[in-house]
Order: sequence, then C-alpha cells, then structure tokens
Amino acid sequence: MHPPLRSTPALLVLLSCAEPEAVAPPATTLPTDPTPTLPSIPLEDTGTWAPADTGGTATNLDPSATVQIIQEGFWTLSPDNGPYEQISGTLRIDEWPDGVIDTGTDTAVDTAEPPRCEVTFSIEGADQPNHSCPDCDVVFNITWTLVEGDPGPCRDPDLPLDGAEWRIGYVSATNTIKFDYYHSGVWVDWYETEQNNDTLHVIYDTTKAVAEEEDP
Amino acid sequence: MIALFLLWACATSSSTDAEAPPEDRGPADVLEIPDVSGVDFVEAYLAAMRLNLEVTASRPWGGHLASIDDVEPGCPDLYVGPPPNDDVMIDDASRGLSWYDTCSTTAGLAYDGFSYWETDVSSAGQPDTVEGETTSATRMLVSDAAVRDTDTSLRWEFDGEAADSIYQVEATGYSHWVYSTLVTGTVSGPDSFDGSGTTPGGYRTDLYLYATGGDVDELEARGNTYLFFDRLADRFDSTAMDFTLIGQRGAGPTDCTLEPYGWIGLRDENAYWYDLVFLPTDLLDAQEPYPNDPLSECDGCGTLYIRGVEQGEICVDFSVLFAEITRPTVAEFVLPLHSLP
Repeated sequence: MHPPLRSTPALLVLLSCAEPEAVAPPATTLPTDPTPTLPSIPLEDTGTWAPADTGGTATNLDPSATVQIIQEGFWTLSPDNGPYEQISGTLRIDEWPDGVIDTGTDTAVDTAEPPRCEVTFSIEGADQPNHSCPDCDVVFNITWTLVEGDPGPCRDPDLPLDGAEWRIGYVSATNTIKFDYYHSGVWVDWYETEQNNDTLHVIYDTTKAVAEEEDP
Repeated sequence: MIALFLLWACATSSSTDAEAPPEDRGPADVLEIPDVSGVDFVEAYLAAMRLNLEVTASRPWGGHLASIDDVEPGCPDLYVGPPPNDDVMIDDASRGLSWYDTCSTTAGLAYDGFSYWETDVSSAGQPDTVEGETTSATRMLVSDAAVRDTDTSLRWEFDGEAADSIYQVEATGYSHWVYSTLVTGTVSGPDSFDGSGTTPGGYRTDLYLYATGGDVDELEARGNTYLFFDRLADRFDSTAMDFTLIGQRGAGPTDCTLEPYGWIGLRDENAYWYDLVFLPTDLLDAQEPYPNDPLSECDGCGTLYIRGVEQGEICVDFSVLFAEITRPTVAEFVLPLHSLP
C-alpha cells in the first residue's frame, strides 16, 4: 500500500504563498552543450498513438480446471413409424471435473474426484401441431420429471427444473433437437441426435473451463 | 498541523489582497461567453437525445457476440460460471457464463481480459388472445475485455458493466412494452458500432435509459456520455442529462407533454457547458405549486444557460423521439451454454 500523499497540501500552500518577486528571472543566455541530445528525427504528436498490443504475443492462458458436461438419453417416438404424436424417454446428466470419464469398471482410474452432478430426468410429451419452428419435422410439448439425483451442483445454467414444461422440435435434416427457448419463439439447437427407427439417441457433450473454488 | 502553520505563515506575510475589504476588490471577472452564432441549438439538443437513445447495452453486447463468434478451441477459454479473476466482483455461485484469456487465434485475433454474462428469458400466453402473451428478458455483461485484429487494430473493447431488460405484453387490441438499460463503462471498436450510428468512435458513459411504448409513451434518460472522437454539431464532446418526457399516449390530466422535466447539458471542447433547463425539473416538483412562472410554464421551451449564464429560451419538440426509440428483440437476449462453440 502506498503511503498517503500528505505532503501535497503543504506543497500547494507553499506554492500559493510564493511572492512573485521571489521567482528567479529567466536566464538571458543558454549554456552551450557540445553534445546535442535531441533526436535527429523530429518528434511529432500525431494524436493517433496507441499502446502496443501485447495480447497477440502473450502466452495463451490455460484454465486450471475444466468440467465435461454430458447430457445423454434415448427418447422413443410413437406410434411406430409415425407420424409421431408422443415422445418419452430419459436424459442422464453427468458433469465430470477435469474430464475424468467413468469407464464403467471399478478400477483405480475411477478413483478421481467424483462427479459433482449426476442427475436423471424423464420426459413425456405430446405433439404440438401449431408451432413456429421453421425446420422441425415435429414439435412436442414435454414435461421434465426428476427421477434421480440432485441438480443443485450442476453447472449448466439451463438445466431443466423438475416439472418444467418445454417445447422442443426434432429436425431430421440436421439431426438436432431444437429448444423453443423458454417459449420465447427463439429456436436454439440443443441436442445432437441419431435416429434409429423410432428411437432418438440425444446427446450434448461439451468441455468448458471452470474457476476453481477457493477453500473456505 | 504543518499545513495550519503554513497557512498562518502565508497569511501573515502575504500581499494586501487578502486584507482588503470585499468592497475594495473590484467587480468579479465577466465570464466569457463563447461565440454560438453557428450553433442550431434545437438540432443540437435533439441530436444529443438521439445519440443517447443509442447508448444501450446492445452496443457492448454486439461486440461481445462478435467475440464469441470468433472463438476457437482454447482461445479464449470459455467458462461455466464466473472467470478466475480476483478483480471480478461476481459471486462464485452465479449462474452465468464467461470467457477469460490472453491469447491469439489461428486467424490472428488477440483476446485479452474477460467477459461474464447472464441472460434470462421467459414467455407465456398467446398474443392473439385477450389475455395476451407476456414476455420478459434480461441480460447482463461485465467485461474488461479487448479483441484486436491481426494488425493490432481494435475490434472491440468494453470495460464496465451493461444491463438491459424488456417486458412486453401483446394481446388482441393491446400492446405494452418497457425497455430499460444501464451502461457504465467505456465502449469502442467496430464490432460494437460497425461504423453505424452517431457514435462510431465509442464513448464512456454511465447512462440509464427507460422507455415505454404501446399504450403509454414515456422516456427517461439520466447520466453522462463522453464521446472519444465524434462531435455533436461539430462542437460538443459530452452530454449530461436528467430528462423525463411524457408522451400524449397515456398522459395524465396534469402531465405536461409539450416539454420534458429536467435538463440536458452539452459540453464543448473547451469544457464549457450549455445547459437547457426545463422547469419543473422532475415529476415530484411538478406535483407541488411551482412559483417560478414563466419558466415553469408547460410551453415546450427551456432556458439556455451557457457557463451558467442565462441566454434565453430554446423551444424543442422532443415528442418526435417516441417514434425513434428502438429496443432489442427477445432473440438478442439468448446466448446459452448450448449455443457456445
């Protein structure tokens, strides 16, 4: 911490007290300096100078921690072969710190920090013929039901709430599930899909950085 | 103590000016009033209001969106939650998203700093019903970020906080909307301005805007805006205002719709202020008897003061602004995790 500049007011007072006649008269001759110090190139203030950018040359910062967020499930469309009127299935949400993947076997590989978020939802829904999705093959109003786990530690800000009602659309051309973002009419790509007969394999998989939590 | 001593010493040895009685000091210097013969004040004050209608969270948000569009894996690093920066006063439990890095992309874009954002959108109902559709949306951006191009030219810079929200009801035979925004910080770069608008060079501001439309027209603006390069009327580099204008739609029986409540200040490059003052200055004052006629008359005219010296009346029709207010669409509030690269 810098010391307070307490001497400044005193200096100001002294300056304000100075008598005009106490100021030394200007020198009438300048001392001769045999070694000129002015640069040979005249300095010019163009007014366009800007601080040098170091951002492009600085070392790329690496995050100290990451989390892999996997949301995956199988949703069944019915009746068989369509046109589809109903959808049901589950979605499992796993968040793995630093990208640790559960291999499914109880080995030493799995002894890392346990996932902070393990949640399973079920969905049930019916088709919604009147919708605003321009590309969707079919649109469903679905209800999310929390089946297992505590969503509290999950980091995805848009995780569904238990009992939430969403409107989603299936676009076979792009193999995506779109989400009518909280009924706003804005359709956002939400899950990638693979269709196998009347079953959709839906998945969202991303790895993002996280700020490490400080110890209390 | 030292300063007191110096003051005493100064007083005892100083010139005779301090000892002279006030009546012997002569008249105060007359303030120099700058030449304003070429200034169209009506247009200048309208231009000031139009400029500030663009000082919204949409400007820094536009640059932020462009910075997200150019993200490559690892540059900048995208975070779930706040960035790991001790200078950022964001609760660890906040549910937003962020980028934080000092890096260069393969395309040569250089990112430096951080941006943290939160959004919230909700909508219910149907617009073609009597009950109607109600939509609300908010977004908030906190940044100390710069993005530069390969030649180090600035693409976007925002240092500060920006927030805005919309609330709108659309129903059969009825429409109502409210838009409010507060930007505190500096905004610059073509990704925010794209060379358009009245402030392409960027600004420093703390402006709050509030506007309603549909069934009720109202406009409020409070705060300061300093233009880095652009000049209003080739002369003014800053605006300051505390401005409330009631439109004819939805006005109460005692509301004045011909002129705003409050004042607008313009500052020239010599730091001289030109203030246009409308009395009463706020709605609370307007509810009390205001013994300041004719200045307080509802006549569309305010009093111009230059360097605090009264210069006469200026009459401006600010009601034209109601047709020029724009607000972001709901889609502009949507930037979830699932949309990030």
